[in-house]
Amino acid sequence: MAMNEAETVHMPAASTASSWRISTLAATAGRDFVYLLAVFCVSIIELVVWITGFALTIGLLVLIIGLFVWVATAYTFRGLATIDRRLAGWVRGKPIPGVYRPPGDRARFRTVTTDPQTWKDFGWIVLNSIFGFALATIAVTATVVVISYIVMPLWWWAIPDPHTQYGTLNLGIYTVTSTGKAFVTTAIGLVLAPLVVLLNHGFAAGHAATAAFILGPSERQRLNARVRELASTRADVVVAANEQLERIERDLHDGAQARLVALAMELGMAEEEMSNDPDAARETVRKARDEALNALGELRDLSRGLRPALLQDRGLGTAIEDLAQRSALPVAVTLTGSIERTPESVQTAAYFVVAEALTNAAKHSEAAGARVSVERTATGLAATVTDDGKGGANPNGSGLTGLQKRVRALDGRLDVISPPGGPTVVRAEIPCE
Amino acid sequence: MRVIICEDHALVRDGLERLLGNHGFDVAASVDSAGAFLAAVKRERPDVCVVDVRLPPSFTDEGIRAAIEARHQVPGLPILILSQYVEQTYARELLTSGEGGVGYLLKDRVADPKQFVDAVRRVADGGTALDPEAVARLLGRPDREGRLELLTPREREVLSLMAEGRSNSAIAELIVVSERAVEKHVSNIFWKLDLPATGKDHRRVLAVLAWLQASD
Repeated sequence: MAMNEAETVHMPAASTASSWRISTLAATAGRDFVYLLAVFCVSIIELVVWITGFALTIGLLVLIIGLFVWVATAYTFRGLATIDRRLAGWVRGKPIPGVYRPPGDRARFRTVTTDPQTWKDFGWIVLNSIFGFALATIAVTATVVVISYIVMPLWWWAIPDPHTQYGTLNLGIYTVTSTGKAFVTTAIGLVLAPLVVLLNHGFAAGHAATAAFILGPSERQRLNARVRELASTRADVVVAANEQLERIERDLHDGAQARLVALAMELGMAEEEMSNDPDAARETVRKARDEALNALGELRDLSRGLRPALLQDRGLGTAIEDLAQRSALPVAVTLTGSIERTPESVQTAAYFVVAEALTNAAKHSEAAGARVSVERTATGLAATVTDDGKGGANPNGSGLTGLQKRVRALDGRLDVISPPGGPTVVRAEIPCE
Repeated sequence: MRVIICEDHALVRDGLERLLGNHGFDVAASVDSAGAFLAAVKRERPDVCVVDVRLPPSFTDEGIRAAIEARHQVPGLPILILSQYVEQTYARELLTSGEGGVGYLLKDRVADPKQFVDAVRRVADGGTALDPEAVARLLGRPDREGRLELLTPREREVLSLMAEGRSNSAIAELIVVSERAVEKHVSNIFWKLDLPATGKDHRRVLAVLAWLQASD
C-alpha cells in the first residue's frame, strides 16, 4: 500500500523529468544545427567580403580612394563580426559584447585602423571563411545525409534507374532497390543520428567558443571600456553635484534669505513706528511674522529636496506613498518585492526619479492621473512612472538630465518615452545586489 | 533727496521703498534689472542709488557691473551696493570706478533703519560706507605691499573707521579720544600712504582705496 502510494507519487515526476530531458536535447540539437547552417551562410559572405575588400583596398591604395575603401571594409567587417557575435552569443546562451573605440574627434581612418578589435575582426573573418566554412559544410552535409537515410523509405523510388522501371539508389556498398531495403538505411540513419548530434554539438560549441574568444573583448579592452565609462559617469556626478549646489544656493538666496532680509527690515521699521504710530507698528509686526513663517516654509521645502526625511526614516515604500499623496494628480502606487532591501543610494535615486516624474506630469503633461510602479527585479530596482498626459516631454530638459546623471552614476539607465500625444513613461533601472 | 532702488526681490524692494520713503527720500524709480536701472539713471539723474549685487539674468555680479557702468555714464554718481555676502573684489571694483560716493553694505544692515539711512546719506554726500564686516575681514588679510605696516595699530583702527565712512567727530566719539587727536591720526595716515593734498573728502577715499589694494 505504502509502496503503491510512493510509486504513484513518483511516476509522473520521473516521466516529466525524462520528457524534459528529451525536449531539451532536441532543442539543443536543433539550435546547434541552425547555428551551423547560419555559420555556413555567413562564412561564404565573409569570404567574398574580405577578398573583395582587401583586393580593392590594396589595388586602390595608390589613389586616395583606397583609404575610403579600407574604412568601408573595416565597417563591413564590424557588421559581419556583430552577426557572428549575436549567433555565438545565442548558441552559448551568453551575449558576447563587442567593444570598439568610440569614434571621438580623431579621423575615422585612424580610429578604425588603430582599434585592435578591427584587426581581431579581420583575423576572425579570414579564419571563419575557411575553417568555419569547412566545419559548417561537414556538419550540414552529415546532418542532411543522416536525415535522408532515416526517411529513405519515403523517397528512394523517386531516383530514376535506367535499368529497371523502379527507382533505385546506389550507396556504393549497398543498393536500395525496394522499400524493405530502404528501411535498412532508416536503421543505419537512426544509429548514426546520435553521432551526428554529438558532432554538431561539438562543432557548434567549439566554433562559438572560438568566436567568443576572438570577437569578445580582451580583459584589457573590457577594463579600458569600463574605465572610460566610469570616467564619464564620474565627471557627470561632479557636474551634477555642482549644479545641485548652485541650485541650492539660488534657492536660498531667492527664498529664505530674501524673506529674512525683508523680515529684518520690517522689524526695524516697526521699532521706529512703535513710539509715534503704534497701529502702523502692529501692522508691520504682523507682516514680519508672515515673512518669518514663509521663510520657514521655504527652508522646509528646501531641506526636503536635499534629503527627504521620510525616505531615511521609513524607507522607499512609505516615501513613494507620501509622494503620491502630495501629488496634485491622483496617483496609483504598486510596490513589488523587497524594495527596501536595496542600498540607500539606489533608493534615493529611485525616489528622486519618481518625484521629478510626478512633478513633471502634474506641471506639464495635462495628465488626469499617473501610475507609479517600483519593483525589485532579479538584477536591481526598477521604478516606472506612467501618466496619461499629452506626452512630448523633453528628455534633455534640466530636470531629466540631472536624473539621468544620478542614475547613470549608479550604473543604471533612465528611459523617457514620451511620444507626442502621450502617454509619458519614465523608467529607471538601477542594478544592485 | 531723490533715490533709485534696483533690487530684484519684490519683497525687499517694497521694504526699501517704504523705509527710504519714511525717512524723507523721494523714490524716483524702483526697478528690478540692470538694464532698467541704467535707463532710470539716465532719465532721473538721482542723488543716490541703492543697488543689489545679484540681478537677473545670471544672478552673479550684474549689480556691480551696472553700478560701474552707471558711474561711467554719470561720473561721481553716488551708489550704495547691497549684497548678501562680503566680497572684497566687488568693493574694490566699485571704489576704483571713480571718486567717492560709494558704499558697500551687507543686506543685513537694513534691519537698523537709522544706520542704513545714515549710510545712504553719507554716500549721497560723496562719502564712503563700507560694511564693518568687510572692513574686519580686510584687517585680517595679508598686506602685500607692506605700506600698511607703517601704520600704528591706532592709525589702522582710524583707517578702518574711515573706510566705514565715519567722520572725524564720529571716530573720536567711538574710540574715545579728542577730535584733534583723530585729525592728527588721519593726516599721519595720508602722509604714510603718500596721498596728495587735494580735496579733503577725496583723500579719505583714496586712503581707503590704498588700503583695499594693498590687502588684496
